[in-house]
This record gives sequence, structure tokens and C-alpha cells, in this order.
Amino acid sequence: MVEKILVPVDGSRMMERNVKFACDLVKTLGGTMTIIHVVVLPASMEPGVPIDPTPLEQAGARILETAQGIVEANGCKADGILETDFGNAGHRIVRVAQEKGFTLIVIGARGGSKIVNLLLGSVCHTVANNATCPVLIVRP
Amino acid sequence: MFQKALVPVDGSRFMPGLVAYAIAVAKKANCSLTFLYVVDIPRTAALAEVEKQKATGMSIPEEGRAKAAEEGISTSARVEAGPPAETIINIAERESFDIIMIGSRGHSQLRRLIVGSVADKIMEHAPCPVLIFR
Repeated sequence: MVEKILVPVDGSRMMERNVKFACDLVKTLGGTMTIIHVVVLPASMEPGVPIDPTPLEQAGARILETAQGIVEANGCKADGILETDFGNAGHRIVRVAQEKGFTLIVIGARGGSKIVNLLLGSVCHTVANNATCPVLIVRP
Repeated sequence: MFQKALVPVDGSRFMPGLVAYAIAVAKKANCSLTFLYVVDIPRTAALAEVEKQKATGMSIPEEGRAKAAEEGISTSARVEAGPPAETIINIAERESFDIIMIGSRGHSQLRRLIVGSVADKIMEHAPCPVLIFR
């Protein structure tokens, strides 16, 4: 069992803990690690008015860079994937995991959502429910 | 990074895959595996009936324990009675397990359920990381 671990990152305050956990895990299980950030574009405010994704993609690239820094600080190496999509990032994460043959997704239970009474973040929930490979939920 | 893993099992057709996966992880992580089967029986059931079902149910986690022991892993098997998800979460909390490894599906015949109801409750409420195997 050679692990190919996919770690979604979102720039939230839990990201450092999640990435550190993933680093410890890849050291324990062996294999490779890839971090992914999905830039979620909002639906257009007005019908027919296109959205300029550039600022959001730049912000996404910075999140990925920050995560790379955490990976290196924990003595690991990781590839980075930046994707852009509409709607819930979870579906894109699941698709990337399937298409690129990842064997494990390591994801934080809660992410950036401000709705604190959500027990499980919506992205985590989507990934846990739809992934075709094992999913490790980092919590509490 | 883990010392103690809790592996809830239910004797369903998905169980052998989970057991094999848990063993592979335990070998690398050098952690112990506790196989737990929870008898889902109403709280109002007679004590004798509970004890009888627990005794019968022991063969389920024992199957996992035997496989793990063959591989030289520190392992144990146990049976508890109660509502499955709550019982699993309580044990993980009280006994400070580092991780719960659970199958995404169990006995339920509802194929449209993507994740079983027990796994779903556990990933919402567990006190520790949860590995959902599929």
C-alpha cells in the first residue's frame, strides 16, 4: 500500500493544524503528499455580468504558498494543485482525487465557514460522503 | 502518531476490507487495534437477553482480533450494548483513543445511503480523528 495523500487547504485558522497532521501522517505511512486549494467563484451578481476570477485566483495561490510553507516547516515536501470552480469545493476535490488516483484524502472537519454551529464543514461533508477513496477527518 | 485505534466492526460484507486496511495502517503506525462490536438493543431489554446477545456477538470483533494478532499487532476484541454511534463515541472519549477507523457502509440495505448512518454520526461527533474506509 503506497499512499498518495491529497490534502485540501482553505486558508482557515485550522489549516496549520491540518497540514501538520498530514505531514505527521505521511511520515508514518510513507508515500507522497499533494496539497490542493479550490478557488470558489461566486455566482454572478447580475445575470450576464461575467466575473473576473484573477483576484480570487491570486488569493488562492497565496493560500497554497502559505500551506507549502507549513509543509516545509514540518520537514516534508508536497506538490500543489490550484483549481477554480463554482459551488462547493468538495465536488472538485473528490473529482481530482479520483482522476489522479489518490489513495487517501486528509481533510479538516471544519473550515472557513462562519456558521459555527455547523458540526462538520460543508466541504468536509461533501468529500466524506462522495470520495471513492478513504478519507481521514482531522478533528476535534 | 497514533497509539490506540478503535475499529468498530459489524460483521457486514464490508468488514474484511476494513480489517485488512486497519492492519496495514497499524503495522506502519505501530499502534494497537481495538475491534469493537456494538449490539444494537433497546435499553429496555432484559439483562439476560443483553448478556446473551453480547456473548453471541463476540465472534464478530474476535474475527478482526485474530487476523491482527496473526500479524503481530497488539490487539483486543470487545462487545458493548447500546445505540451504536453513541456507544462508539463514548468509548473513544472515555478511553482516549487517538483515531477511529470505520467503514463507510454497514448492514443497511439502503443503497442510496452514501455513508452509513453510524459512520455519519461518528464523523460529526467523534472526539478524535476519523478514518472512513471505502
